[in-house]
Amino acid sequence: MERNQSKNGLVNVLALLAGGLALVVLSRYEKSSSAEVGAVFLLVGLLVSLVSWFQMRLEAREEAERLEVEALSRSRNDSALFSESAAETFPARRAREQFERWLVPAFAVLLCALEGFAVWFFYTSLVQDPGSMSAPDPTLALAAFSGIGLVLFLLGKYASRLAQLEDSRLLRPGASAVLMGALIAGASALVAAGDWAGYPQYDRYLAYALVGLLGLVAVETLIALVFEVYRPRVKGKAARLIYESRIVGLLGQSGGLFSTAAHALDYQFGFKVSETWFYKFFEGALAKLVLVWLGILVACSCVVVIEPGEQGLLERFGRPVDGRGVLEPGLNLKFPWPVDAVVRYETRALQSFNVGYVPDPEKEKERTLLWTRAHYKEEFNLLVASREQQSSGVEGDQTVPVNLITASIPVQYIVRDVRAWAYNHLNASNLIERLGNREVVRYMASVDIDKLMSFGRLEASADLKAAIQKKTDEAKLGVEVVFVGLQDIHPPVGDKRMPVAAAYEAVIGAVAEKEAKILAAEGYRAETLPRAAADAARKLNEAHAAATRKTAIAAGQAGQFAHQVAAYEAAPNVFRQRSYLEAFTKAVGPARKLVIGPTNTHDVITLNLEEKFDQSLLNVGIDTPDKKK
Amino acid sequence: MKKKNPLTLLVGTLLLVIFVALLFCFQVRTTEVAVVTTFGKFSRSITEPGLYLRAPLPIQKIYKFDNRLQNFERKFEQTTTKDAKNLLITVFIGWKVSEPKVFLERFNGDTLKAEQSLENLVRNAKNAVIGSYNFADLISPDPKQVKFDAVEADILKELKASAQTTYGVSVELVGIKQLGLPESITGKVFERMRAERDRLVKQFNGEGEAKSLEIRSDANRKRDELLAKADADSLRILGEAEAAASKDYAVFEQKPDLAVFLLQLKALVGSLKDRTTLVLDEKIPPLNLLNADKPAAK
Repeated sequence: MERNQSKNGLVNVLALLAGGLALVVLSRYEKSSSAEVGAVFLLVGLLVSLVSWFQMRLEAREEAERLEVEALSRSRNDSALFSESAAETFPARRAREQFERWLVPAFAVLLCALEGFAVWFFYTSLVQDPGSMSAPDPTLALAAFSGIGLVLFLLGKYASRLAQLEDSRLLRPGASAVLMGALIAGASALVAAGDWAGYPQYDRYLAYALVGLLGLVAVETLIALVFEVYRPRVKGKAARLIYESRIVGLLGQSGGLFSTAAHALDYQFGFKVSETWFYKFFEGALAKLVLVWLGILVACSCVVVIEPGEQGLLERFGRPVDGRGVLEPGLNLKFPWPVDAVVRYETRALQSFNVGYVPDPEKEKERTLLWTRAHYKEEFNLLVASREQQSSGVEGDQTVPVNLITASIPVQYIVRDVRAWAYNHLNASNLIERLGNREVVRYMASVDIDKLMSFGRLEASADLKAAIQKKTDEAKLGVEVVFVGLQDIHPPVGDKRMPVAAAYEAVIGAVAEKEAKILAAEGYRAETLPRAAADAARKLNEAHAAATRKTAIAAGQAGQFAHQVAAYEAAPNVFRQRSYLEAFTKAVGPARKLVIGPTNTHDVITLNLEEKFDQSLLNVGIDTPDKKK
Repeated sequence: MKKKNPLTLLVGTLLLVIFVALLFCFQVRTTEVAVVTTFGKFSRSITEPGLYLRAPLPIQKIYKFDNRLQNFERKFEQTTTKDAKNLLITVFIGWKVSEPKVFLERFNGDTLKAEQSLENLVRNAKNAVIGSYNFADLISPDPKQVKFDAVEADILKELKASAQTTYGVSVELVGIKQLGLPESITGKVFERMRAERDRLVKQFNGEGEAKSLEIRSDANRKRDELLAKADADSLRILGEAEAAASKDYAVFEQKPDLAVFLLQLKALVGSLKDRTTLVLDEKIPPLNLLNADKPAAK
């Protein structure tokens, strides 16, 4: 029987080695993180089963030695033999004791360190690389993991049963490790199925779970080591295997899990719960429950719910199904996996891309957009033909007859034909963006920049929309272009040395200034002409007034003279003297007068007739600073 | 011996059937083509979707490639046109696997490697074709002169034959995604654009000045015309008044000496109004009265 155990222990070692290698190869080929961590579990199990197998062989040797000594003692009945020291009499036992005392704890420490390192290494790897990578061939992964799981399960189950029947504590760790390997392979197969169905992220979830489990096993090993130090040594009682993980044993052996749970219940309630009818019924119906659960899973794979805004493509053995290839939102029936498969696409959602710029979330908050300041993360210069330079015909080595323009053109589209969208192109959204760019560049190559920047925007927008639609139809993309906006079209900002947009603004300023000058001149005209008309009217009126005055005065003077003649003729001298004296009085009255006396003298009279300045004006009292003192 | 549960057998059989089916069957989707190798040696290419039989690993291996049109672009590259003008250009292409066996042999199914190799072909074809067209065939104010379609068709023609035979891929689509200028030329273009705008600024300033001057001078001319006409009319009116007055003044002819005497008196009064200093002889009447009662000198 011991020979059988040892052989089975070796089988466990080989199974774990083969399973571990297979998982390593598959994890590399299928880019599976969970399989990588699973391979560590199998490596740890390999080391454990190797040590337990070695310990098994030591115990077998000890047992053989004991039987041999007993046989000798019975045949010779020589007490002298027993007078020798125990170490000399039982070398195999001595070797086993030394192994358990020194090598087993050392191995447990090594195991703990290895598990701890693996936890740290895989956790940091998973955190640093958060992407979920799809396996190159999920069906191959599914088949391979299932196969590995099945083989490990059969071997592990056999070893576990054997350990239970023969009550072999040393066979148990290897059997548990093999069953754990089977469990991990089965879980990896489920993950591969999820990947095949379009959910590659479950591989990472499983990898995280396995890393957590490995951490628990490491902690358990550490606690077992500490407890081993303080454990009371009872002679003749076999020591517990401190490198054996109870967690792995529980998870790896479903029977063990059940029996452990049953024992826990029996202990808690104080009677044999595991012998009640309910527990028996539950245990007996478990297979049926699992089958029903599998049936529900298969039934679920016969139903697919397409969400609003989505469409699904139904494929049977990879081929589109005639007549109902496109599934609309709602409940749809299909054959179960792997016969039928559905691939979903969001076709009703508005999709968009930008031509000419890369949006900047920070700058989008700005409320004022100016030509002289960049308002996107990146703005690309588009080439526009220069009409002026083209017509001038100036040529040179580097002279290119173009202008540069910055434009931000958002394009929005929706998927109209999901089959064309999904089946004709691998990365259709990239292609439509490139085609959109192509049409914008083509359009700008011959556009009139001044027209485009002013009244030609709507026309340009419509032209571009039609051109992009035509191009996407030619490429059989199955989309409808719903909007092409020309929202920012202006000269490039330029640089500090050569601000281009500012020069364009200066032109607009000059146009305004020109208008201002014309308006000022028109204002001058509007002011001058009415004023001139008024002056002219004034002059005419004054002339009329003067003429009227002149004729009236003439008439008056004529009438007055007629009367004066009559007076003159009545007394000519009196009239003359009177008139003379009246006039003299009136004329001389206000004038300064000097009357010269006798003229027969020889005196020379000098008269100073110059203007006399009024001296009082000089006597204005202004205090000088000196006076103030 | 405990009797075997038939349900357990059923579940086991089902699992076994699924496992065997997965080992011996494989699917090719409508978007895929596949190559089957037996112990590493090519067996067959599959270009139609469906369910196919296979020998399990490691006897047969299945390589699947996406059969849809894939597109890529690489470098924004400087090149020269036929008329020796420099420009930068990006070209994108759309390609698909047409010969799965050749594709597997050349690139081991690696799409990235295929695109890197295709890039060399694209660069070669692009530079050759652009070098045979003038700059105005790409950028021109006349839309009819722009030959984007012809340039793309020529590049596609160059690529198609060599890509098919050498790489096992079919190039279906070529497009010009981006055109640009080298940095030094961009600076010059900025300079010229700015000079153009400066010229316009000066032009608008000059036009404003000229128009303003024109309006102002026109206004001045009209003002002067109005005032001159008003002056002329005033003179005419005054002349007419003079003529009318002269008829009344004819009455002075009755006593001309008296009329002159009176007018002189009036002129005298008018001329001696302000700031006049008169040096008068005491003999002038009525100043002669100052000496009338003076006693004779002894």
